[in-house]
Amino acid sequence: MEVLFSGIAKGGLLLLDPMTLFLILAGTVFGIIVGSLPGLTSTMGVALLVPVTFGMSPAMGLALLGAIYCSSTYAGAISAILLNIPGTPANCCTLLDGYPMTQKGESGRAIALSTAGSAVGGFLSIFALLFLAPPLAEFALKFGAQEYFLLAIFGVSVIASLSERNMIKGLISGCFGLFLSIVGMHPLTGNVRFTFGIAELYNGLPLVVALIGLYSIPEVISILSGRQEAVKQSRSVGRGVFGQMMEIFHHKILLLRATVIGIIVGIIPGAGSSIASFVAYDDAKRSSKNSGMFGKGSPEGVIASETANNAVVGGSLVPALTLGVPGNAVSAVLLGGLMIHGLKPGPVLFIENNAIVYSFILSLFVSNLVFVPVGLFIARYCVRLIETPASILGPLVVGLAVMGSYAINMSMVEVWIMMAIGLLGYLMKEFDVPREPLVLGLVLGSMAEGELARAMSLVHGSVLSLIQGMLTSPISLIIIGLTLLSLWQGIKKQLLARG
Amino acid sequence: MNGQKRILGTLLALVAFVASFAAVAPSMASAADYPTKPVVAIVPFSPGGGNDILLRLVAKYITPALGEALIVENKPGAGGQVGWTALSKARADGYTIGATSLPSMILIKSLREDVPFSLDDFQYICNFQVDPIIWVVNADSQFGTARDIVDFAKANPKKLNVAGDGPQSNVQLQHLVAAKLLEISSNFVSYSGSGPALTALLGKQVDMAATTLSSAIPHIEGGRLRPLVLFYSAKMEAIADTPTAKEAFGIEIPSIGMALRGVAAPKDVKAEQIATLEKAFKAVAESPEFLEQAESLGLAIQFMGSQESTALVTETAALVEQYKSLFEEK
Repeated sequence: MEVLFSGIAKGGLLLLDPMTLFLILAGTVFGIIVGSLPGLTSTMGVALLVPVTFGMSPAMGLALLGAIYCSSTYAGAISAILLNIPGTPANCCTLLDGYPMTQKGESGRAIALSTAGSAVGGFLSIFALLFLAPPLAEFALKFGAQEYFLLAIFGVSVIASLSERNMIKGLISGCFGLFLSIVGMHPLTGNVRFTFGIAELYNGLPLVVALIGLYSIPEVISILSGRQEAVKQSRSVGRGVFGQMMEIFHHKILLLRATVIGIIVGIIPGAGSSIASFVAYDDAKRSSKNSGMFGKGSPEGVIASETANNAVVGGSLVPALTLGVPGNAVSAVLLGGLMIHGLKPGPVLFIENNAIVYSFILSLFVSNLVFVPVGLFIARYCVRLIETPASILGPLVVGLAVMGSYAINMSMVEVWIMMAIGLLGYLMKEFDVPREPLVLGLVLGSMAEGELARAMSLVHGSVLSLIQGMLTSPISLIIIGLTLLSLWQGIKKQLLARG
Repeated sequence: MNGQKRILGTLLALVAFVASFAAVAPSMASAADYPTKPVVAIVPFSPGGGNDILLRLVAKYITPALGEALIVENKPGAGGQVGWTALSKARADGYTIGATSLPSMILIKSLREDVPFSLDDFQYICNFQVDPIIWVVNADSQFGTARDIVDFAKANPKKLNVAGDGPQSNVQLQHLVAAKLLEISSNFVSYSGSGPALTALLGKQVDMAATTLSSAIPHIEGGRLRPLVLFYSAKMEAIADTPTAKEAFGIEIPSIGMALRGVAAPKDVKAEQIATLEKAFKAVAESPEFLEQAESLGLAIQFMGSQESTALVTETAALVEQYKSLFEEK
């Protein structure tokens, strides 16, 4: 406790430097641009600016990187809501209700809700990071291969709730995603499968590339073919925005649940913000009184998805700072930045570099406040995007898609992969097959496969001991329970619908 | 319409902004004064990994010696294959170099089919860091010494669960070679990197882990993990009390899995440019500020020049050839 309070005091002093505050602002602007452009991810944004921080003091450099992390995670919602194209994988769920809201002329409201939800989720998760980091990190360590596997299976059960409109098509899409996740090296044996000699596929189909293809290309085709359903312009963002943002507090329980889901998924190393937003979305849908509205422009869907993915930020930094084990790709890069600044992540960090660590954590609070006005300001102009003539918007989105997929590894191969997936996405859209189950299958498939193989290896191939292990671990039992509950609710709903 | 123009202008500016980092195009070089613009270093791994941190740290200090900045460009994929292929095909104007990691580079070449680069496609500029493999256990583990591990593994064949980066990694190679020479059999469980492997150990999912020293140091210093044996002939300062393989087992075990991190250039780069680069990297390796920071991060810096590094590649390749069949036995 003493370390905590002296750290907060010393860190707070470091943070009060006007230059640091300016850097947070600059990082936020940069992060929002990176996040809202499809194809540029938070990871890339942070990695790009690591060298820029060399000349700064550690406190300043880290504040800048933290600001990018917070704001880019938030900003992916903007393109999801306005263009039906997620800015980062974490915003895939946001478009399910965000874009229908735009179609109804409520884009301003959707952006206000996502901004407020992101800020609340981010803020609370940093709170958890500040006060609860050590016990949360111990909790993260309790997750072994078997728990990860069960978690992936639980995630797959969300597919059912994503495809209520047409169960068969949803399941086909989910299975296809699971199948695509097999592409690449087997995580344990290293056997190479379905790569057709393309080295870029050895580590699996790159998620971001797949996402760009799946959403950008079909959108462009429908924009250019003039088949895009008419979109009503909303009142410009800004007027009455405060009231719209306050609307999230009508859903206090929802906010809290989504935040907790985000934090928990965040602290589990290897999960990620896309899983958090899928799970939170599903949870919101099942617990909502207006679950029929989901997928048709439900504000609750936008809030759940955006609150959860920003709550991952604080969660993912828990194991990164306390154990030196990054929770996801972005925190791995942040950790690298920390080390280049001479800080050693891990148990000694909070003692040896007390002031800097706490100034970093406190700066994240500031970042979560700063992206609200900056984001709304930028969104004010972005909202006009939907009025842009198709002949301009279409090529622009294609350009962004190509550059985004090229920029990931600076290679053309990814661009071709993106185009191929784009064709698939177009066909799916044309036949009204939901694409989200495919994304979920792709994210979770390799996790489920690798972790099952690992769990089996740990018990030396005995299925009986694996089952025994699952039935004796409390965490495993809870996850199994949640999965069964989710499946039962889905089945019940289908039965009721049939009468 | 004015509003629309403004939006269009903003969008075009954004596109230009993105394009500016998507394209780091190399251009013509003159050998007379080199370098006249920043040098790009391809790191074939994701940001935040061992090679990435090392090169970024070097980049922080190299500008005075090189006269230009060193820009790290991550090109991850297929365990390094994508990045090294790109380096082998890069324009040989001296403005694109890349990080090397032995024996990973050699393992990829010798275990996979259709690898488009060859070890002769590179000129090795220098070797910078050594990162030996260690065995670690939890601080409260029942295994007190490396001998205890060997005794347990002998009494319970295949039962010892060992976490490590893999599959087909330098860590697994080291573990397999050690197991072969110690005549034990264990169950090596691959994790996607040393970080996740150590997390599994900390969470008590496995009995022990094989890992690079640098990844384990924070946990060893934090008192949660205990190193048992070091697979290297020399003692390492960070874990001065840990016995070497020779001391622990009384037999020589080659330090085949030790990660050797350096830089290389495409093979047609001019000799004088290589010399310039080698000199600049050497200056960094000798800079007290750099050394101090590297030491605090647990990176063991050992500078080897171009000639020595090239010899090292040949040596390591021969060792890998000798032991690579172990991957198939299991």
